[in-house]
Amino acid sequence: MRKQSLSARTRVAALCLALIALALPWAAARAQAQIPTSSGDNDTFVEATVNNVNPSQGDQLTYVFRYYQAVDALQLPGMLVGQPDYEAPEFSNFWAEGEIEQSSTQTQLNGRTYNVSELRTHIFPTTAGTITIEPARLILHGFPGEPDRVLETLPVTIAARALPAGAPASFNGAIGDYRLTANVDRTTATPTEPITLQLRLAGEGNVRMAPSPVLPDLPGWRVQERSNEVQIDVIDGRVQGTRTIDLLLLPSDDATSLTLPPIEYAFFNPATSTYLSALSNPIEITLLDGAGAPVAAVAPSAKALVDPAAAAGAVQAAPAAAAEAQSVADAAPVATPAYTIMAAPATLPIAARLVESPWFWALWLLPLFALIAGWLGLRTARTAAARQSERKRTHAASDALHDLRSAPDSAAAQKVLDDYLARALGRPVGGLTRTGRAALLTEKGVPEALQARVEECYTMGERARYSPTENVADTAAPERDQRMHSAVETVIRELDPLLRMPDSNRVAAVPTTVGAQSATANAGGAQ
Amino acid sequence: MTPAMVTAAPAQGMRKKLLLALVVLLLIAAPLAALGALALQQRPGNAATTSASTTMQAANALFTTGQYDLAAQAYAQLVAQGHGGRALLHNLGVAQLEAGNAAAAVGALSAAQRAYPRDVNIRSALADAERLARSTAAPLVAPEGAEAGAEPLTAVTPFDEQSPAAAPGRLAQVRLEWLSGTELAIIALLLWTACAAMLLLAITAAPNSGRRQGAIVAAMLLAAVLVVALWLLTI
Repeated sequence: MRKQSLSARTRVAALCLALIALALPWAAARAQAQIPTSSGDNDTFVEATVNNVNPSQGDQLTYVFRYYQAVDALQLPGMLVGQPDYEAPEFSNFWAEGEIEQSSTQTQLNGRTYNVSELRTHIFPTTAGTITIEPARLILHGFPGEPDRVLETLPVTIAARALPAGAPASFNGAIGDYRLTANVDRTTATPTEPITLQLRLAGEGNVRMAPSPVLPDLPGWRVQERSNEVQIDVIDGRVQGTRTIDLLLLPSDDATSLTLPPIEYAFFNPATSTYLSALSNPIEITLLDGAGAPVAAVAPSAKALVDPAAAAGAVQAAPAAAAEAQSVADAAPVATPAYTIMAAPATLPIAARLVESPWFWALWLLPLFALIAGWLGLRTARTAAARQSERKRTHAASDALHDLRSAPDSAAAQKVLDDYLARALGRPVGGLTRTGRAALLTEKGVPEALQARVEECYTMGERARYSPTENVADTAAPERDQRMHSAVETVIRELDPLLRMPDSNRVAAVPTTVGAQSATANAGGAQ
Repeated sequence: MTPAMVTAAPAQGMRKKLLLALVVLLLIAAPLAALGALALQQRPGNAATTSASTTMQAANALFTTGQYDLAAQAYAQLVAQGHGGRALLHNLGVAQLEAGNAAAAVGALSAAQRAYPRDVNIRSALADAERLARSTAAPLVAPEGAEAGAEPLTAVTPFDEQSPAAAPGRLAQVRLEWLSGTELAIIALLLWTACAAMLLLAITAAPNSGRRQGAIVAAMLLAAVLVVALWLLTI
C-alpha cells in the first residue's frame, strides 16, 4: 500500500516537472519579446512608423500605427468591453489626406504569433526641417467600473528636406507629379453666350494643397470661376487626385477671336527631385459678331503666351535653370486681395463653446443650491426659534415658582408674576394696562375668572408696594405677603397648562378647558 | 432671563450671518466660475497651439501670394483640429471669399460672426460673401434680348433664405448680430442667479410685506427674460 502511494506521488512529481520543462521555453520566449513601444507588455503593445524618415517637403508619407495582440494571450471579449479607441496624433506641420486605411494580419515575433491591426494615414510635411509626430494612443476599455488601459506609441521624428533652389518663376508650391489639360464646351462664342473652359490638373501628390493653374490675360474677355473641385483617391497606398476648375469666358465689347495659349503649371517632383512644368494644349476660340461673322483675332498679350513649340509635349521635363529662364516672362502677377487678413497670434486659442461644456451647466446648480440652502436655513432658524420659545414657555412656570420661593415680599412676588407672563406669552407685559393684559390672556383662552384672579394679584402687589409703611410698624405685612405668595403660586399653576397649550389645539380646547379651569378656580376660591 | 436665553440669541444671529454669507458666496460663485471657465477654455495654448500658429502664419503667407484656395484649406484644417480665434475664423472666410467659394465663405464667415458678432471686418466680409453667393448660387443665364456689353448674368435664388440671419424673429437676428453664444450663456446664467436671489429674498421677507411682493415680481420678470435668453441660445 505504501509502495503504491509513493509510486503515485512520484508520477505526479514527474508530470509537474515535465509541464514546467515544457513551459520554460515558452515563458522565456515571452520574456525575450521586444516591445517597440513606450507602453504595453508582451501580450499587447503598439508601435508607430513612417515609410520614409527623410522625405522632401510636401512629399507623401505613410504613417503606420500597429496594434499587436498575442494570439495566446487572454483577451477581454470585445462584445463586453467594446472596441479599442484609436487617437491619432495631431500631425502638426503635416497635411493629412484621405481616410485612414485599416488592415489586419498575423505575424511571428520572437516565436510568438500576434494578430496585428494596422492603421495607415497619408500625410504630407508642410515645412522643412526636423518634425516630430506626437505619440498615437490606443485606449483599451476595461469592464464597467474598471479603468481603461492606454497604450501609447513612441514619437516619430522625420527630417523633411527643403525644396532645392532653382524653382521656376511660375512655381507656386505644387509638389507631386501632375498633368494639365484644358477643354472648352465649344470653340465658337457669341457676345451673349459664354464659353466654359475646364482645366483638369491630375496626378500623384497632394492635389488639394496644389495651387490652381493661373490663366494668362485674355484681352477683351472676362474670366469667372464657376467651380473648383478636388477629388482624392488613394491607389496602392499613393494619394492621387484631380482638381477640376470650370471657368466662364465672357466676351466684352472689345473681345475678339483668340488662341488660348498653353497654360504652364510648374511643380516639384519629389521622385526625381526636379522641377517640371506641365503645359496644357492651346485652344482656338472664334468669336462671332451679331451678324454671325467671325471677329478678327488680335494677338493676345505677349506675356500671357508661351512659345507654342513648348506645347508639343503635354508634360516636359525641364532643367530648373532653363525653366526659370523661360518662365520669367510667363509668371502671372499675383492679384491684390480685396481683403486684409489678420496676423496670426503667438498662440492660437482653442475653440471653445461654453454651452457645450458640462461644467457650465453644472454651474447652474449653484444658485439652486443657494436657494435650497437659504430655504432650509430659514426653516431651521424658525424651527429653532419656535423650539426655544416653547422651551421658555415650558420652563416658565417652574422657574417662576422657584423664584417665588425666594421672593421676600409682595412686590417681588408681583415681579415674579410679571416675568412669568412675559415668558409664557412670549412678549413683555410690564408696561401693559389691565385691559391689555386681559386681551392677551383672552387671546390665549384664559377664562375670565382666572383673569380676575390674575388682576387681583396685581392689585395686591400694587397695594403692598404703595402702602405707607415707612416709620410705621406694619404688623399685617407678613400675612399679606403670605397671601400674595399663595395667590401668585395658585395663579401660575392654573395658567401654566393653558398657556403651554399649542395654538392649534386652543380653539377646540378652550371651552372644555375654560369650564374645567373655572371649576378649579371656583374650587380653589372656595377652599 | 436664564443664561441659556442670554447666549442663544447671539448664536442664532451668528448662524444667520454664516448662512447669508454662504448663500451670497454661492450666488457670486456661479457667474465668477463661468467667467473663469471661459478664460480657462480660451487660455493660450501649449506647444501644439504654438505650432498651429506657425501653420497659420504659413497660411497667411499663402494668402498674400494669392494662393487663396490653399490658404483656405490650411485655415480649415486648423479649424478642424479644434483651433479658433477671431483671426483664424476671419481669415478662413476671407480666403474662401477670395478663392471664389461663395457658399464656403458664407459658412465660414457666419461661424465667425456667431463667435465674434460685433467685429466689423467679419460683418462686412460676410455681407460681401452673401452678395457673391446671391450672384452664383443660381444657374447663370443670359437674359433674353440682352444687349452686348450688358451684364449677362443674373441670380434667381435669394440667398437670404439660406442665411442664418433669416432665423425667425427680429430678436433672433439682433442676437446673432450683437451677442455671441458664450456671452448669451453668461447672461443667462447671471439672469438665473439674479432670479434665484430674488426668490431667496422673497422667502426670507416677512409674509405680505412689500419687499416680498416686489421680490416675487422681480423674480417672475427675470424668469421670463431667462426663458427668452435660453430660447435665443438654441439659435
